[in-house]
Amino acid sequence: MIEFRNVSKAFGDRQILRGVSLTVEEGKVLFVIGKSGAGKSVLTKHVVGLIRPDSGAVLFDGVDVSSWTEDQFYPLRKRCTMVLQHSTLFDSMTIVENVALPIRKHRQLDWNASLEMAMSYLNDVGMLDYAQRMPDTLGDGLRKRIAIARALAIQPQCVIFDEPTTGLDPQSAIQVDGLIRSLADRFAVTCIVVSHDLRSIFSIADRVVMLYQGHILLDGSAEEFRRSEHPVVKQFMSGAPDGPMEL
Amino acid sequence: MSVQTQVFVDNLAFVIKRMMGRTKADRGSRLRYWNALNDVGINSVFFIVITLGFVGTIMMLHGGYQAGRIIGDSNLVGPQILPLIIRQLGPTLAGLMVATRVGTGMAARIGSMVVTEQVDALRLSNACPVDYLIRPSWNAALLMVPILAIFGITAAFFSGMMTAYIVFETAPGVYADWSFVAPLDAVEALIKSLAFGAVIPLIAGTCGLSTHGGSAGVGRATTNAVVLCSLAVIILDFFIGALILGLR
Repeated sequence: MIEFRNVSKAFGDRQILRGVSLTVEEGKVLFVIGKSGAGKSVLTKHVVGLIRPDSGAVLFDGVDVSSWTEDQFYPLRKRCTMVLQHSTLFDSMTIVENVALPIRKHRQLDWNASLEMAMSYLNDVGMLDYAQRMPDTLGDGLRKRIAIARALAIQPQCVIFDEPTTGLDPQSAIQVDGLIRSLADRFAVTCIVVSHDLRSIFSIADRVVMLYQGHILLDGSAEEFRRSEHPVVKQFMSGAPDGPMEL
Repeated sequence: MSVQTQVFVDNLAFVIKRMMGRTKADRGSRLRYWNALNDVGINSVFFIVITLGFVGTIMMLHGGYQAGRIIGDSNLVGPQILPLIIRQLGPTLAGLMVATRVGTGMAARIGSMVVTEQVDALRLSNACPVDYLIRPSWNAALLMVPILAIFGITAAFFSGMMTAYIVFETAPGVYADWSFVAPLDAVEALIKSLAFGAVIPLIAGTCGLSTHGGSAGVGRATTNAVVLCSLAVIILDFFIGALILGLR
């Protein structure tokens, strides 16, 4: 279980998070939503130690990890990983080498064994034909699928998806949504999804948390989110340019 | 201390601490080491030979001209500049060239990986960015900077000899008078080259890891790398040189 306790974070004089407290249940799909710059990615990156809080605590299975060293985080990142916003493949490696790297490092396998395993994961996501290609020769949708395959290759208990459907065509987006849902339903993987995509939220979310001005504005089910009368939530839902939401 | 300076200092401490540990070599690390050897060494040879070749010519040309004016004999210049080339110009200019060519390249490459989140992806993959991005260049620079310095010294020596022969009609045997060269000159050149090879990747890599703020940040990291690496080379040059002068 992941828990944020009163987490605050600022970059320079810009306060991003102001005492956020949140508990993420195991095996559920939690959506973290909010306007751009609301601190959604910043919040989720605390879990895997890519960002450390200025104050407050982040607990993973009851252990406070907020003051852990980089070396302490490496085993945790095998249990909880993240698909970064821009897919973020290593542009000096082929696709199969990209997927093989975390397998080799996290599972301590040798070069050939990790490549073999990476090929099987690429096969699972229908990307075997692209195994020897370089990332810059692929479009955003394919890169995203490979980034997801790379994250799943270490068989984590928790995956954070940072805007997994942004830039995808509708069919690919539905496939990614289905994959996230099946991870939670079939393998009890905890999924934290940072997204603006209302279609995804209403189709797969167990719970939705909306961040606004560094605080949690709303915490509830997708249905509660839909029915909310809060003017900022309503403006976010409607996408209206005018309203109470500070841009 | 500004936030950026604090970030740089923290990152440098982390990089140094990490570099003091050992890592297990695998096929990937050997490949990265080979690529770094190419980048630091083989791709720099031409650049350094040309630069030091011209420096040898310039020193001989102006030294010979001045000696001719002051004491009326340009033949003494060769033996005087040889120790200077070996212990001073060879390693220091090779270090500065590596700082310029390799240091900036490292900072730009790592910096762009930071802003595109590739470094975060490495950390998520259980691959420490220091082991992955800095250690191969550090190992390569430790080996290659002394070798580059030898190439540079050789180029400066022969270009100076040719200049002395063509311009001042100094016989090669007179130019190559090794009586003023001591074994300690070679030791000094080696120590300096090793020191430059050790600090350039550390500073340049740390500049890259401390990048923030998109492409402008990569530009700043690259500039910082060349400035700090060059400063480090000059400062180390002074202190190592002064220390060894004290031993003479």
